[in-house]
Amino acid sequence: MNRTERRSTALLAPGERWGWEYRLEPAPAPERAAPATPPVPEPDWLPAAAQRYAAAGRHTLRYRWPTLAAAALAVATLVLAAVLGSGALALTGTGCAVLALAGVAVLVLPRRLAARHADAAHQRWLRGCARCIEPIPAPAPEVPAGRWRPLRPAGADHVDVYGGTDRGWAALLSTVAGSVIGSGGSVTILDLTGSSAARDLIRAAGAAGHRLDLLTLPDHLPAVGLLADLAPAQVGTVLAEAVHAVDRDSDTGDRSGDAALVGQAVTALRGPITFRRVGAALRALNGAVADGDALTAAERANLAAALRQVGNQTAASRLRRLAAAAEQLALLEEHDPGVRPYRDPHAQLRVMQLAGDEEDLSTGLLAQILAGTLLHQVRRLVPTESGPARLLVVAGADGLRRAQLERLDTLARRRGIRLLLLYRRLRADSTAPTGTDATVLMRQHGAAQASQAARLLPAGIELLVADRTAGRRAATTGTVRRGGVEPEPPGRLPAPPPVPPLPPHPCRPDVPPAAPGAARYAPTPEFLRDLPDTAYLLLDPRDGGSPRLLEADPSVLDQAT
Amino acid sequence: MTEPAGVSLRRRWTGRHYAHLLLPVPYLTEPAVAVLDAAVTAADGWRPYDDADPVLARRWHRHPAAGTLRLAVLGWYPLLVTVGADPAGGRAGRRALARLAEAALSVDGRPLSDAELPGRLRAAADRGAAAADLHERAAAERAELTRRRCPACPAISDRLATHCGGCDRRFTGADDERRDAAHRAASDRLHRLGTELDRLARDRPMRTSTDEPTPPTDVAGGPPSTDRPTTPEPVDQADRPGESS
Repeated sequence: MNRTERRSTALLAPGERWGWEYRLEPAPAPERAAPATPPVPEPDWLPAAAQRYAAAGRHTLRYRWPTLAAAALAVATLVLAAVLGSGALALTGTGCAVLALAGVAVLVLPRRLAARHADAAHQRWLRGCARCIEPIPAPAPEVPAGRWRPLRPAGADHVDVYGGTDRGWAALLSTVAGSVIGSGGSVTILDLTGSSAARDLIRAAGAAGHRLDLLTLPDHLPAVGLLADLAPAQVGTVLAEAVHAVDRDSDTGDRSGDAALVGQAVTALRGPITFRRVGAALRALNGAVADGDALTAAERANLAAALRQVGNQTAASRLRRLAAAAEQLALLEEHDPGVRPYRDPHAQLRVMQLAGDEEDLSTGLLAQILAGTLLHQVRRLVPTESGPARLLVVAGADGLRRAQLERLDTLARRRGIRLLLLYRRLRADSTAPTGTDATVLMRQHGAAQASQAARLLPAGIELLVADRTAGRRAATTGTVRRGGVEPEPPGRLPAPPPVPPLPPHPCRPDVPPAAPGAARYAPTPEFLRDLPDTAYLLLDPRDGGSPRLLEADPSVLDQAT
Repeated sequence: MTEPAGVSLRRRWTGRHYAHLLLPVPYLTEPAVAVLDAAVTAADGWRPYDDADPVLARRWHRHPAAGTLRLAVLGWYPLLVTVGADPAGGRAGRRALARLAEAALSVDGRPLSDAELPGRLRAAADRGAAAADLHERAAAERAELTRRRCPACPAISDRLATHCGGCDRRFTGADDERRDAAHRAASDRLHRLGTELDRLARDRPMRTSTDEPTPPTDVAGGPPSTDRPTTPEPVDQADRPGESS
C-alpha cells in the first residue's frame, strides 16, 4: 500500500474524526533486572589452603634455629679451616653447610608447596568465577511514547473555522468530511473560495468508490437549472438577497420589495426558469420591450398585466438593477464550455464549487445565488432524529450575510445537520463558543487577527506541540536559519529541568530519558500566526479538555514517534 | 607496603600469586579500570585484553605465551575483586600484583587476606542487596520525575502532558503546581538515595533501620511512599582484620 492509498484509507476510515491530537504516554516503569551482587562460587578452597599454609609454617618452624646454627657453624668452621689449613675442619665445615642447606630446603619447600597449592586452587576458583559471568542485557531507555489520537468535537452542531490557508482547508475538509462519508453519512459542500477546497476530498472519495455529485460553476451552469427547483417567491428571495449582498449599500431599498418584484416577474413565466428569462421578465415588468426569444406571448401578456400594478419610479430603478443582475448571470449561463457536471441523486458527497478566484461582480452574484439556493435545498430536507450523520459545509463564508448564515444555521439545527462554516478572517464580533457551538482557529493572517483570536482562548493554558508539527511550522513559515543562535519558536515555553541521572549501577547503566518528541507552547498571537497549515485549535465548550491542538493531515500517522 | 597477614607478594619462593583487593568505588567503573590498567601496565609489558564484559572481569597479558593476569569482580558497593597470575610463579606477575595492591592503597582501598575474604563476600551480598534496593527506589523516584498524576482519577500521564491520559481533562494551573511540588520532593528523595549509595560505595557501614532517612510526607497527588525493609546490620567492621606489614 503506497502513501496515497494509506492516506485515503486513513481519511475514509469509519468513525467521525476531525483531526489527530498528539498525546504523550508515560515512559514504562523500569524493570528490576539487575542482580544485586556478582555471581561468585563459594571459595571452598580457602580454609584448606590457609590451613595447609599455616601448617607448613608451623611444622617447619622447629628447623629454623638448627638451620641457623648449622649455617653459623659452617661459616665459622670453614673460616677456621682456612686460617689453620686444617682439612678436618674444612670437612666439618662442609658438612655443616650441607646441613644448613638441607634446613633451608626443609624450611622453604613445604610453604612453597602450600603456596603453589593455593595458587592452583585460586586459579580454578577464578575460572569458575569467570564461568558464572553471563552477559546482562542493556536496559531499555525510558522513552515516553508519542501517540496520535483521533478526536472530534464533543457534540457541536455548529462549528466556525477562522483563518487557515487553501491547503489547510483542503486537509480539514478531507479529514472531517472523509470521516463522515466513511461512516456512512452524507456531506454537502458549498465551496465559494474559487480554489476548490474540497479537491483532495473529491479525489479520495472518488478513488474509494463513494458516490459523488460535483457541480463546478459557472462551467456547469448551462447544464443545470439553478433556479429550476425553486418557487417564484423563492427565486425572488434568492435574487434579491444576492443583489443586496453584492451591492453592500444600505441605500438600495427594501429587500423584501425587491424579492416581491422578482417573484411577480417569475410568476408570470410558464416555461423553464433561467436567468435570461428572469432578466427579460424583469425588463418587461419595467415596461421595456422584451426579447422575442426569451418570453412567450402568454408570458408577455402576463407581465403586461402585472406592469400596471408596479408602475412607480422606485420600482422602475429597482427592476433595472435586478434585471441587470439577472442578465449578468445569464451571460455566465449562456457561455457553454462543453463540460458536463457529474450528477448523482444518491451521492454521499455533494460539492457545489465556484471555479476561479477572481473577485468579479458575476462571481460574487453567483456565490450569493448558490448560497440562496442552498438555503432552500436545506429547507426541503426532512429532519431526522437518528440515522447517518449529515454535514453541511460552507467554505469561504466571509462574503455571505450574517442573517443568511443564521437562517442556514437554524435550518440545519432543526434538521439535525451539523454545520461547518469556514471563514478566512475572524469576524469582528466573534466570541468564544458556547452551548453546542465550537470554534476552530487555524493559522491567522495578520497581527490584529491573531491577537483577536488569542483573546478567544482561556488565559494561562499551554499546548503540547509535537516536534513534527513544530517542524512543519518552521517549514511552512519559511524560517531560514542564517547562522548564529536559532531564534526560539513563538510561544515555546522553557523546558522543565532535566531529570537527574540515576546513581550508577554496574548492570543498569543510566540511560537518560529520551526527548519526548514534543514541547509545551503558550498560544500567543505569534504562535497562532505561525501555526502550520494543517494544525488548528479546537475550542469546544462541551469538552473538558478544550482547547486542543489537532492535526488535520493524516500523514502525521506515518511518523513513528 | 602494607600487606595482609601471611601473604607476601614479594616472597619469591613462598609467596602466593594472587591478591584480593577492595576499592572504594561502586563497581568496576571506568576510572577504576583506568587505575588498575595503569598499575598493571606500568612495567613488564603487560597489556589489557579487549574483553567485551568489562563490568565483571578483566584480563591482561604480556606475550602470547608469557602469562595472563585475570581479574574477577566478587562484589559491589564497594568493589571487591580478586586477581591471579596464570601460570603462577612468574616474576612479572608477582610484581604486577604488588603494583595492584599499591594502587588500591593509593585510592583509599586495600588488599584483603584470604581470611578476610569469606566475611567480605557475605558482606558484599548484603551490601549488594541494599544497593539494589536503593537503586530500585531511585529508579522509581526518577520515573516519578517523568510523570504526573491526575487528582481526579488514578491515571498517570507524562510530565509534559496537558491532558490527563485517563479522564482526558485539561490540567489546570493548580494541577501543575502540585506536579511541580511532587517532582521537587521526588528529586530530594533521589538525591538522598544517591548519597546513601555513595556511602555504600565508600565502604562506610550500612545504615540501620533507625538511621534510615524518613521518606518525606507525600504531597497531594504525589507518589505513595513505600515502606522499605530494614537494611541488615553492618557486618563489615566485624570482619575487618588487623593488618601487618
